[in-house]
Formats: sequence, C-alpha cells, structure tokens
Amino acid sequence: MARSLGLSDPAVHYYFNSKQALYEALLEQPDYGPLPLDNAPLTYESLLRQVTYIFNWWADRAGFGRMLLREQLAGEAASVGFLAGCKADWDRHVAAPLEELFGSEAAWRSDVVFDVVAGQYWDAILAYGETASEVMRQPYFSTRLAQILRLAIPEGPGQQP
Amino acid sequence: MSVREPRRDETRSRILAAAVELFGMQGFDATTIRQISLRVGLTDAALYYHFKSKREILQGIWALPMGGGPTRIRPDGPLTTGRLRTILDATLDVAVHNSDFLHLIMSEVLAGDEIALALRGEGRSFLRRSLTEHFLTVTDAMDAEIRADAIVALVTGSTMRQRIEHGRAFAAALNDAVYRERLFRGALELSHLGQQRSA
Repeated sequence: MARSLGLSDPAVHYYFNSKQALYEALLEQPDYGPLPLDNAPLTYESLLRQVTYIFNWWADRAGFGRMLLREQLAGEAASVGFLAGCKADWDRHVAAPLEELFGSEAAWRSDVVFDVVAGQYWDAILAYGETASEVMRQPYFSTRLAQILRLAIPEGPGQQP
Repeated sequence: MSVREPRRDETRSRILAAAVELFGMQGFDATTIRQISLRVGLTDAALYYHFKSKREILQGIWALPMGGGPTRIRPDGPLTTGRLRTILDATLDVAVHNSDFLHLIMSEVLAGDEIALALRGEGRSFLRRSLTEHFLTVTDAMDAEIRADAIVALVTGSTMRQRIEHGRAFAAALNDAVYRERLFRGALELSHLGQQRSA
C-alpha cells in the first residue's frame, strides 16, 4: 500500500500505527462536501440532483465500496455500523427534503430510494469488479439510474400522470 | 459394490453441505479442510478420498442445484399486483432456502472468483427476465425494462441490507411478514401498478 502511494513504509506508519488503525480511519463517516441542496432551493429536480450526487460520490469510490461490502458480508462490526451511519446520513440529506415534498410517507419513501440506489451500486460493484467506477460513469448507466429514480420519486406527489 | 455407491454420493453431499455453511459463514480462505471433516465426522484422509483440495470442494459446490427453485414464473395475462407479489415471494423464498450458498457466491465474487460471478449474474438475469416479461403485458419494451431494473435494484439493495444488518439471522429477517409487506409496497410503487388501481 505504501508503494502505491509513493511513500515509504515508515512514512505510512508515522500516520497510522497499524493496518487496523488505518482501517478505522477509513470508516469515518463520508464527507460529501457541499451537496446540491445546500446551495439550491428544494424542488423536485434539485432533490433528484441531491440523490444522484450522493450516488456519484460513492461511484467514484467503488474500490472503497467493494472493501466495505466484503467486510460487511463477513460480519465485521465496524463496517456493519458504518452502513447504519450511512443510512442515518442519507435520511438527513434525503428523507428530510422528501418530507417537505411528500409529507408523512417520506420515511418509507426514503427507505425505498435508499435500497434502489444501494442496489444499483452493490450490483455494479459485484458485476464489474475493478472497473465498477468506470462503468458507473458511462451514459447508459447514469441514464438508467435517472429513469429508475423517477419511478422511486414520482414527480408531483399525489398527481396522477 | 452397488450398495456402496449411494453411500459414497451421500458422503459427498454431506461434505458439500458442511462446506457451503462454513465457507459462507467464515469465508473460503479462513476455512480449513480439518474444520469441514470435523463437521462431517470424517478423518481428513477420508475427506481427501472425495475431494483432492479445498478448491475442488468449491467447484463441487458451484455445481450444486439450488434448493427450492428458482422456478420460472411466466405471465398468464396482464400483470396484476397479486402476480407481482407472487414473483417477489418466490424470489425471497429462493434467497431464504439458499441463504448460505448465496452468501458464499457473493463473498467469492468479491474475492474474484469467475464462476461465482457467472452464477450471480445468472440468478439476477433470471429475476430481471421474469419481471420484464410480465411488464411487457402492460407497457412498452423500454418502460418494461426500466420497471424491471428498478425492482431488481430494490430487491438487491433491500436483501443485501438485511444480510448485512442481520447476519446469521438473515433467513428469519427475510421471512418476516412486515418486511415482506414493506418490500412489496416499494415494488408496487416502482411498478406503477398501484396507479392503475386508482385510475
């Protein structure tokens, strides 16, 4: 690992005492930086941009996602807790705006959208391995995600198309 | 001789069943031949008579038929909410019946096993095909594919989350009536079938 960073082993050890310490540092909750809804009024389209942004953040980190999933499937406690943290984070960033648009069924819908988005992500990680980040950046993939999201978050709540 | 053959097959099956459980639970690499032979009640030498290596046991596992399905569900008319529920329940039943096997497949996919990758892809396209065929009875080809993909994503995400959150209690969590009802409601939303009802 030190080699892939262009560092010496002692340099890595200077920052992290052990592989375990490094692993724990990786499991800090994700820092998405400024999200679309931090700087834009809440509309149907800006909510979709918010969800897509979070997906893309994870898509760019498919190697991390893969490592996490391996640990989670093995039942490693910190990684399992990490998923719970991500879901809580998701609810802050997505369920809260959903509630303004959809009212009382926001918590249920946030769950559905989370599972759909996580399902697309995990599927890509399992199916495409090392190339998953690249696959998720392809127009075919992002178009399909957008189409699916519009089913999970229908425009104009209460309206029939 | 003819009496011994079935017995040999039976031992082989018992070794494979124990290995599915141990590999699924603690991973292929962390499992030893000794643990498998202990579980089956054989000596290592007796186990080596059936399988030359741990890798050979894994290959034997990949060749196992899945228990309790999957049976192909074909459309019998325009898709109804009841039929969607049947497809979902059948999918979850297969996941419950083959819980350790499917866990092992995913772990081995992540470890880079090509056969596991192919088997997982096959299972996924099985559900996707069935859903697409059903949606074709109520909508056009493009829309059918999108709705099928949406439900496959929902099922993938939801069951994976159950697996991670519940660990060894995964099968029980998937059999929970409240969980199934919630998943069905989600799938119904993605299918747009609910809106036809109120139209």
